[in-house]
Amino acid sequence: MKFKVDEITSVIKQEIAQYTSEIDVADVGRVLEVGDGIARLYGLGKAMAGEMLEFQNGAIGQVFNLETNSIGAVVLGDYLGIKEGDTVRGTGQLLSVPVGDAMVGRVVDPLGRPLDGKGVIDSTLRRPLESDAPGIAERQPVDEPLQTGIKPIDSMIPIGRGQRELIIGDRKTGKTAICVDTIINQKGTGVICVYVAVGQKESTIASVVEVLREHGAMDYTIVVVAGSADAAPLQYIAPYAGCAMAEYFMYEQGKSTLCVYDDLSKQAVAYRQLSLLLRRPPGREAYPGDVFYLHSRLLERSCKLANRYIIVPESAPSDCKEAVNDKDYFGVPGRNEAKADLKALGRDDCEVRIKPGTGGSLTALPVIETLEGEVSSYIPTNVISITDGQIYLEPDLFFAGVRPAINVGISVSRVGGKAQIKAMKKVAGSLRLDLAAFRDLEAFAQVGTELDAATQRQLDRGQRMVELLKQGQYKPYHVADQVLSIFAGSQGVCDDLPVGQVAEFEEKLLQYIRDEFPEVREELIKAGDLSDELATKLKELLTNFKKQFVAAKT
Amino acid sequence: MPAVDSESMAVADVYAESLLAVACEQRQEDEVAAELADLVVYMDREAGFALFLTSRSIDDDTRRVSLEKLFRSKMNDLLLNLLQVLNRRGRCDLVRSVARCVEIRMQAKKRQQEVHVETATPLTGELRGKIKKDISERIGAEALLIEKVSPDLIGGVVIRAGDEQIDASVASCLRSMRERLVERGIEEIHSGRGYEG
Repeated sequence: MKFKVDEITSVIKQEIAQYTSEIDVADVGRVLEVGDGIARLYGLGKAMAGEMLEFQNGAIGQVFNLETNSIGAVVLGDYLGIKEGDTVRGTGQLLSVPVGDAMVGRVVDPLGRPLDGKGVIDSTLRRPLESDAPGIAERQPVDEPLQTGIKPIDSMIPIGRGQRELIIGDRKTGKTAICVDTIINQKGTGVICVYVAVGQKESTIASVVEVLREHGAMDYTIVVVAGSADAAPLQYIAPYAGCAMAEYFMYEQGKSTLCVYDDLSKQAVAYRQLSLLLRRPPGREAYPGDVFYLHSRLLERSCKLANRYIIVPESAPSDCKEAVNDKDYFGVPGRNEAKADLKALGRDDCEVRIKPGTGGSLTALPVIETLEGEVSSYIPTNVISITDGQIYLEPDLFFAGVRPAINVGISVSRVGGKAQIKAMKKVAGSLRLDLAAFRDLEAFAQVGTELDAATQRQLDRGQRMVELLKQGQYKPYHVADQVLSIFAGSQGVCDDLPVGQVAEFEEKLLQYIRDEFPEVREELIKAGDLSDELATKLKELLTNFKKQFVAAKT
Repeated sequence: MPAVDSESMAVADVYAESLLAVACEQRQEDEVAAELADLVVYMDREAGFALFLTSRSIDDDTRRVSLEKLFRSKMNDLLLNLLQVLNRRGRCDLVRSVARCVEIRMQAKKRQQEVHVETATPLTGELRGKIKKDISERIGAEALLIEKVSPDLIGGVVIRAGDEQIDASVASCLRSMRERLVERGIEEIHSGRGYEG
């Protein structure tokens, strides 16, 4: 396929013929000094805080400080091409980024410029980088799970759509791996993912993009990159850019979105650099006084928007937005009102549905890197107090072979069971407590004393549960498989197996169910619940499989 | 308060404001401003004098006595007092900045404003008068044109008054047209309308 040159030429001729020159009137200033990503400007008397500026060399900037005699601005681009005396224009607009379906599958910088070599992004839609978080009335409680595909998380630290769950740990403990697995697991769920890489090595980012591409995740993911070689201003705005891109899908299309900020510690360091260069007073650890606000205003934009309900005929197509009574009902109280109105209408052929394009969500997975496990330092404590829970990753667990290296004892999700399907709630109900008891006993057992039968049984169970919760990288589990696996463990099926055989047992069990009893798995997926009948069937199935497994081993 | 473009100008403006306030009380502001401008011209012409005022190797007392001998009854008293105050505070290097600030303040007082006009070819008298009239109406003050010839503009004019810039140059139009053509071309190519096969 080649493009018609004549066609393009005629378009250009048309443009030239219709061109009308307009006098360009702009608010301008002059560069007084520039360096290290910041510039001090004179003039621009009408500039406002956060306004976008254009430098003479084409670089974009943003007004940061409004002072009596000058303006402090950050340069979001090549500041080396700017010299003293250059003209700067005010644009009268806030900094914005391109958004829309055209961004999906692309790797971009924080200003939305493509970095993947796939050409210009054809999007006319833009959203401001900074926008107000929705108010209380526009939200509803988180009640829908976001499955990460990682067994210890989905069972004991479940994440809901619209929640902020912090991933915190030392370097090389698997924080990014959890994020990548979560993104991979969103395949086929309709969730749009945004991965924001801040201050990381370009080689690391390239390998993450490659992994996402291999697993087909780039079909629904946007990658925003501000690497370690990029200037501090770009690293500062990158998370806001990613959030704006995700917000488009949440607000305009009512979709569920996931935004990973990897990591916010580096954003805080970049912000500290900018603030110190612009002579803002340093506070604790030399961070500026508003470093809390830096993260809180970002993370508050994550939410579950309240659904809008309408009364439509049951036969209406799924994308129908026309209500029979021309009325929209808002949020949870609105749903109850809609049901009451439906009853009052007396229309048996109608039902209450969520209006398409509403009720979107933005789930945030911010990442914070700690030094030597110090979670009580400044930035980690700030972000912990903002988020709705945290997942702690420990190097000791990692090097002991427990991967993902999640310390489930001190990890928490403040949304909890509301973000779990019923089946998972049933099987994982006491899992956390069992594991906590096991850890206490494990320390005791190392002393070497003789243990009674009950204690030994608990130890055996705990060791096998820990084995079951281990998982390979880039291998997210469907929630049904997780339920089956944990159910098997909790029934004690593996208690008499050697610990080293548990992983193999699990893999073969799940394959066995998929091959021989797919209807059991389908029923679990469809119902989302583990009925007594299904549980009985599963127990029988487990007993039979175990016999086969043990026989094959002997 | 006039806009100043550096920290030293900010300091100089403090002195300028004070000088003009005192001069205004004595109804001598025009005379003081004119003499200060002349002083700066003299400093530009006589490098030795400029060095005398600003050199750190001359101690303040010596400079004070010298200034007194040189300028008492030969210069406006207020202006000489300003030089002595600057000397006492070690700010003699701000004389040029103070003069500039005084000039800006006097212009503001007389409702005058410097307007930079850049054209591809020198302005004719008629055009100069027209631009001055139109700009003066727009800014609400008498425009003091500072002209500059830049062949890069190709044609048209770029006018800058304070923080506002009016760009009606041919170069700017061509730049804007180029951007629009590129955008439109990309849009057409991406839309696939111009494709065959």
